[in-house]
Amino acid sequence: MLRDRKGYTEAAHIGEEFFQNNAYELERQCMMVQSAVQRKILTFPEALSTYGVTKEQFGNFLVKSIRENVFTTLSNDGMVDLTMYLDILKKLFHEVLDDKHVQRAASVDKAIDQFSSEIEAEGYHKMIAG
Amino acid sequence: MENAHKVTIEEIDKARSIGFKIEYTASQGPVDFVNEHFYGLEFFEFLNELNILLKPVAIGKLEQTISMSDTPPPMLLVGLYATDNDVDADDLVFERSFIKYPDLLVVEHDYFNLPLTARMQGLAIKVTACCLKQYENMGVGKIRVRATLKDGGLVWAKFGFKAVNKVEVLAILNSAKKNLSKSQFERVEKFYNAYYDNEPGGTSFPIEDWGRIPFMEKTLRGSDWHGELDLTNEKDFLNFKNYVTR
Repeated sequence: MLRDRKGYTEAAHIGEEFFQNNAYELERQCMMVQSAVQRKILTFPEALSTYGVTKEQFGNFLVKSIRENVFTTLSNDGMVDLTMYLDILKKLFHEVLDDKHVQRAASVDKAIDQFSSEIEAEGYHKMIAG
Repeated sequence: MENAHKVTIEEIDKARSIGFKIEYTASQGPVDFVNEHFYGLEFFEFLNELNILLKPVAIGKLEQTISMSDTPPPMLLVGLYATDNDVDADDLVFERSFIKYPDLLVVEHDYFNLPLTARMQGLAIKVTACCLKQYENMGVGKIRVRATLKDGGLVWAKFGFKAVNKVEVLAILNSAKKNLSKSQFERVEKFYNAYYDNEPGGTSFPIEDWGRIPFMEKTLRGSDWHGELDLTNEKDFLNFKNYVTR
């Protein structure tokens, strides 16, 4: 057993060794932003400025987490169901539109549907790792 | 845990052969003691790996000790020390105390200090990964740490430990009031209120909320608090695992 307990602890330099992966550290920062907003402690702009995260960084974090979730769920033998994926994108797009803007979005819907049919006909597949 | 590892007398002898001194005040011998209270611990594999990782970086004489005590709660202490140096920065100190409560196995991260020449080279991660493997084998429920001295208060806050003592958290908040602007402090205080308004006697304040705020660095560097990491919480466990397996 250590005789002189005063001079030692679980030293900070031990912990600092864990924080060398910048991408993971940024991910944790973004998770703090998300958590603070979801718990209604800070507004979104407050949380971004408090944790020093830019909108772009947070957007990338959200895309990554959504992508992982959706790709994992929609994949079959590592192949993503692209038709369904594009349909989900279309629905997400509609989530932010009111009745007036839904009509204006018809051309976007049509373009996505057409693109979806084309790549299906081409036999294009999106493979995911694992 | 049906197929969990059971320690043998051969393992105890092998641990002695690589330099571990085994002390016990327990009424049972070491084999029965470990198998009853710390079931699943790969005794020799754990000690051998620690020895392989830490012995090469020890400066001066290395003491390796296992201490067993069955005064309730039963406790198993693993320690490696090379502290007979003129300069503190040359010291190696590693100590983990496993404590078996009736319904919970806890490990206290008492001390871990590497000599200056061995820091920031991935060794702390390897040692922690070796520990985590055994924590999983044994079903450790909580890791406890005292975050203090030389920036420990900041580093362990970022790591995801929860602060257990409200008085210590309040002391940090009071310190923040002196260090921060009014608007910065108001944001910091919101985290305190959000937690303790809901749980006035709460013992797991998510101090990472503060640890990752850049303007809280100065305040947390000088802080002193006790933390716990709940390994039965999937998110906390995965975060811990992410850090030691990369």
